[in-house]
Amino acid sequence: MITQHPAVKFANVCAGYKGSRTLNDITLSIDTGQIIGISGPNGSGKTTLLRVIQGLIPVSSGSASVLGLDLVSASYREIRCKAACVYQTLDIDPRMPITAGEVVMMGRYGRLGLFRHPGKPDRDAAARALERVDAVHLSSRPFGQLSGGEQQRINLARALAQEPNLLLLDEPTTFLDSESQRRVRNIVKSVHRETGLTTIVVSHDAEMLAELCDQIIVMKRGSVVDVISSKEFADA
Amino acid sequence: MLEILNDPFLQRAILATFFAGIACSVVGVLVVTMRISFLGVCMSHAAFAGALFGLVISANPMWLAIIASLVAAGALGPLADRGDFAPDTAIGIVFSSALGVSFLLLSIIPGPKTEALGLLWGSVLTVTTGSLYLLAAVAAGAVLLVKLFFKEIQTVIFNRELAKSLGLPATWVFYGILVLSGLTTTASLNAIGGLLVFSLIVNPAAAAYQLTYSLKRMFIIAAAFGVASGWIGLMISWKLNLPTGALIILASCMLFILANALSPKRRVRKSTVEEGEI
Repeated sequence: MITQHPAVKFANVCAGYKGSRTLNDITLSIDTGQIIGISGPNGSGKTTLLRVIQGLIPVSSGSASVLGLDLVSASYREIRCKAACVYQTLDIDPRMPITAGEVVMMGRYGRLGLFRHPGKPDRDAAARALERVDAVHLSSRPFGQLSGGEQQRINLARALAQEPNLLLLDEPTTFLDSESQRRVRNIVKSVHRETGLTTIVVSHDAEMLAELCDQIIVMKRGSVVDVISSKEFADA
Repeated sequence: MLEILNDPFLQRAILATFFAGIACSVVGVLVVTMRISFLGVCMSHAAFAGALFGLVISANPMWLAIIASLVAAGALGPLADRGDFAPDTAIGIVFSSALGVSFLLLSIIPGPKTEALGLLWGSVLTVTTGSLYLLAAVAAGAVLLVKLFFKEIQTVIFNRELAKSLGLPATWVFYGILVLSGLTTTASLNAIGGLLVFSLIVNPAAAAYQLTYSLKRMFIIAAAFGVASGWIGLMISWKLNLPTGALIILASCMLFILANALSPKRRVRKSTVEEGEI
């Protein structure tokens, strides 16, 4: 989708949990269609930044817009429907009565609103997302019984089923074996190549960030300390 | 055996166990899958404290029980949401407060404490028409709420943070579960009793959890087990002249043991343990 405004634009943004300030004076601009990495040590505010972008943590000062929507005045629901997030693999009870297909369908729920049940367009979107991550065969399996890599492909399918304008990946390959990491990376790459979906990846995996991203935002103690190209990042 | 249906007391008891079985099981599926099973104990004691307060001030115990359980739900939600405590800790704090208030009120109720203790043990055979209507309304309300908000409930059960990130009203769903749990335990107070209702909440749902990977089927199986526990307990009680509430609970325990023994998920548990050992 081609738009005039940047996908994410922050100017002097401060934010944090319950009165504390985790992000200090963040100014950044992410163009539509870019794939951006966020790197930094633990506690540097990477995940908090993603949560602010999603509207899960309010901005305490500064101005912030996501996909052209003002984070202060827009409905959070509107932003959350347009920005899909994949988290680290979850610790799910293997006996949990929820199938992989149902998890993918959850990606549609935010769009549906209250009292509406998924219809054919939703089932089609979920099926397409499953195909894209090569996980159609996993659809009827209990989610908790899938391997970490399979679970993360299903989580990616769930995010893609949301048909988002912005994809946020928070440590998507943590706890995965190398083969699963490679598969997740390839899916993200091919989705970005085919759709131009603006993607933000938070990771400690320098190799993945250098391979996937156009630019890397480096964070430290709640602030952006550098924005560098992936080549500079790989060389550093 | 069919003469049981001609006795007006038993007719009411059959209906009461039917509605309580459904209401408690629906709440049970929610708390068991969210791993907050202790919520049932907490709510039943809050309702019990409210009912005792009603007896102390000579007001309708049921209304006071409803108010007390809503107050407990209102306290639990923000406590659990603040993130300073795990949900289980918040439940423990509210439970112990309710227990303390209950003991205090029990000691200051004037005269014999038969009515007060009746709320602890319940009496399905002497359930009043008002209690029956309340149970029916709560059971119907619970089923309707699950039907209307199934996708929101399913997502919150799976992962509350994900539900929030999808723009679903995760906090309202969680608070709704707390309120529904309070209303269910209150409505069951007369028939099942404040102490025993916990078993009827947890056991049928825990049994259903062993048998299916579908949340929808889990609701249906749990409700069937809840109703079956009530009717089995009632029949044995009627035949052998033994306490009904205790037999209902024992029936629900037996169903759980049976479901656990026949569970296809046992292999999953076993392989998980073996992987852990390696």
